[in-house]
Amino acid sequence: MSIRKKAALLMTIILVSVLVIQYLLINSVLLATFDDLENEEVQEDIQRTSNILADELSDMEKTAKDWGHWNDTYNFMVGTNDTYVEDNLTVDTLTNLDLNVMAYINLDDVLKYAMVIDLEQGEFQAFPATLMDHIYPDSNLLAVVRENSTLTGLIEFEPQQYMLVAAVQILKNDVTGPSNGILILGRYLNEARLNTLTRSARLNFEWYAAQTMQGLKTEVNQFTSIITPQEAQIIYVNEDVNFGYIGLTDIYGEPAIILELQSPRHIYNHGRHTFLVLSSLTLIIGFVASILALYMLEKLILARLSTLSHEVSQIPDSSMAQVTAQGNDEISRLGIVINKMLRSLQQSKEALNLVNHSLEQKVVERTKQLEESIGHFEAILNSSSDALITTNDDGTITQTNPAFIKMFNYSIDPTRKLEVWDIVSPDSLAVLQQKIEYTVKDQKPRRVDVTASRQDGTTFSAEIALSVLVNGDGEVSGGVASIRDMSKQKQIEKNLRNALAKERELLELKTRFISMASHEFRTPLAIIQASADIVNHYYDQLTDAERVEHYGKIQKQIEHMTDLLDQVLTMNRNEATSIEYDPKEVNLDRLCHEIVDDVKMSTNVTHGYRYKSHGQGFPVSIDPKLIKGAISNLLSNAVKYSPVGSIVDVMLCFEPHEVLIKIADQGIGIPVEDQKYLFQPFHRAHNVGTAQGTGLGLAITKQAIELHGGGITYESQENKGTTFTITLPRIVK
Amino acid sequence: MTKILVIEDEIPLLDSILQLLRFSGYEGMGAPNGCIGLEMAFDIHPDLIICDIRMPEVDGFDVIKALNHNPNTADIPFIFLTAKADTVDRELGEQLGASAYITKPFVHNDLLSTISSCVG
Repeated sequence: MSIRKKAALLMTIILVSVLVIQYLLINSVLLATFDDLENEEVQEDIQRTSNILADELSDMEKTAKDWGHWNDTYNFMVGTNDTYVEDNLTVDTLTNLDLNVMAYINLDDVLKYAMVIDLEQGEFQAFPATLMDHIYPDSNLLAVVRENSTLTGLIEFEPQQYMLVAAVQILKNDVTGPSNGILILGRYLNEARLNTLTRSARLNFEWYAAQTMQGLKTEVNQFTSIITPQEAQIIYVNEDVNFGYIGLTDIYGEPAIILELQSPRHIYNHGRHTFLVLSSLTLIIGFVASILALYMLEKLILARLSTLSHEVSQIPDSSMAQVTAQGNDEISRLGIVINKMLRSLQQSKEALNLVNHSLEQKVVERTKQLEESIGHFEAILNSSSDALITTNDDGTITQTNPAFIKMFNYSIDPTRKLEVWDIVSPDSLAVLQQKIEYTVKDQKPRRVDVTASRQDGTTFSAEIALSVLVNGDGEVSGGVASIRDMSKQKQIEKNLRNALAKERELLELKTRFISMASHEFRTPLAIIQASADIVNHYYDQLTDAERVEHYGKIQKQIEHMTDLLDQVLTMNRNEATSIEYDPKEVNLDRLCHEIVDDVKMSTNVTHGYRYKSHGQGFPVSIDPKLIKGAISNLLSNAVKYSPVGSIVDVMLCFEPHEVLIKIADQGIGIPVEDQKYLFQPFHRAHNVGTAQGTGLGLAITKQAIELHGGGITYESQENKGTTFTITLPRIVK
Repeated sequence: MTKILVIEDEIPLLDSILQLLRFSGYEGMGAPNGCIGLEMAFDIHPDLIICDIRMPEVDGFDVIKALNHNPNTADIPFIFLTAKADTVDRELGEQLGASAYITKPFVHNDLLSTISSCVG
């Protein structure tokens, strides 16, 4: 709704409200007041009517006293004034006194003289017979007069004909008695009299006989309700006339007549007229004022506001960007403010345009850079030898590169069909999940080694580099994973580790060998040095036998050292695989016999020897020198580390594919803690005691057997004995 | 006469050392392994002990530890005479309270000067 319509509506509402309020006020206050005024007026008129009758009766009482308290009348009553009637009681007298009846009642309550005239006709009339009903000895009327000396009131002298009466006792001039009778004056209350009274009182009333109560303009229920002027009944017939009623009683208190007063409702009608005039005036003035107010409102505010509104609404389409701002009121100031705002807006718009232009240029540049970056990124992605994938936040793979498809053996791009969990084997799932959780939590890149699973189910070692993709709100929106096939690296790493371990082992072995060699050489050297020093410094104090002993010691230690050196050299040769390996078919059974015999001879037969051969013998292709050395070493060890007199068993077993040579003793055995180092050079078990040895024999034996493609094992129990078993493969030429 | 106990499992060397001591005016007593050496040390309470390290069952380090635990033998000067030339062995020997550490082969003058410095 426009402001104009609102203003008009507001004016209309105000006008109607004023009229309604005015109507209510006038109706409830003014017209009610007018009603009260009219009521009072009717009461006053009724009072005036009563007063008129009272005045009439008072006037008649005064006239009665004038005539009754007069010596002439007094004398007339006793018969001493004969000319009284002639002198006083004429038609003119009654006409002047405006009386219809003058009656003189003597002391015997008998009518002495009476005169009745028709005042309109000026003629005498007969004394009304019905009047005599009130004049008789001890009548109420006469009794009241005698008692009160006067009486005024109404009496009915003809049926439904009433007369005003005034009666006094007849006394002397000085109002002294004794009373000579009663004078009664009567005035008919007929139509003519009432008209006269109406005219004199300027009131419009009519009278009705109380006995019938007929002819009333309105209905009066009971005479008693209107018997006193104070309780006059007012009946509103219509908007033009009010009717007021009052009842009059006769001298005996009986209902006599009803006076009906018609009172035009001038005040009320005047009030109504005034109300109409006022309402009309209010309506007209209000209407004119409203029109004027609307006009002024339109001229001063609405039109300008409309213009302002129109101009403001045109601003987006217009380059003017200014509104009218004339004058020095609020609207003008509003216009000025709007203009200021518009200027600021225009400046801001220009600045914005500049920024926008600059921004567009930047967007173009950035787009170009972005396209270049995307190109670079795709080039990196496509040329990378590592498999690269991106995933969304639920792990679904959203992008892959050619390396991924190749690495995982996919024939088509598996984007959107795979999850990151599908590219690792089940045993790597837990570690991958854990690393992804950590990476998402702290948003720091991580690496994890997994077993990757190809499409065909084959697996390979892989290293996955994980990092997260973060959106503008800093929330993780996905991830990037770079997968590198580590199988080659793992193999290289494994080989390196093995090589390193072997190197370390060799180094340790070498260190141990040098340390052992050093020790093993130092002891014979010390013996040689000691013997040499003794012979050198104490030559004279030595006996010949002692000298020979020392030379013998020196000789023996030199031999021992030479032997030691030979064994070391042998070992070195074996390790360098430059050992002379010259295999030939040998009768192993015979060879074993020879070895046993040799050892038996060299050890002076301190032990018992048992030799057994099992199975169908066959020629064996071996290097007899190496095998003889190996078996001799084992056999001499068996003799060396077992008590004198114990048995040494040698068994030769020909199996279908191999030959077993077992040498068993009943000696000291090999302690469990030494078994680990048994075949290492220079190692000697800690329970060997003073038995001579270099610690190289078993190492050389093992090398010789292995050179034949065979192996050597042992079973040993400390203080029970040891059994070495040489296994040689059967080589068929 | 100063009593010197020599514990050495290489018998030819033990004999030579004892002969050398005898020529130099000492009373030398030999033990062919650690066990016998300890028994002799507790029995005769020598003035000096010369001991090899690498011996079966009870080695030289075990011998000096056992001597140290006994108040009667803890103060006896102790010389290691060994083929173990490694620094770690020498340091371990010194830590265990050895007065001197001589590596084989030795010149007899060095041995005698070391003995005289230990026994006064």
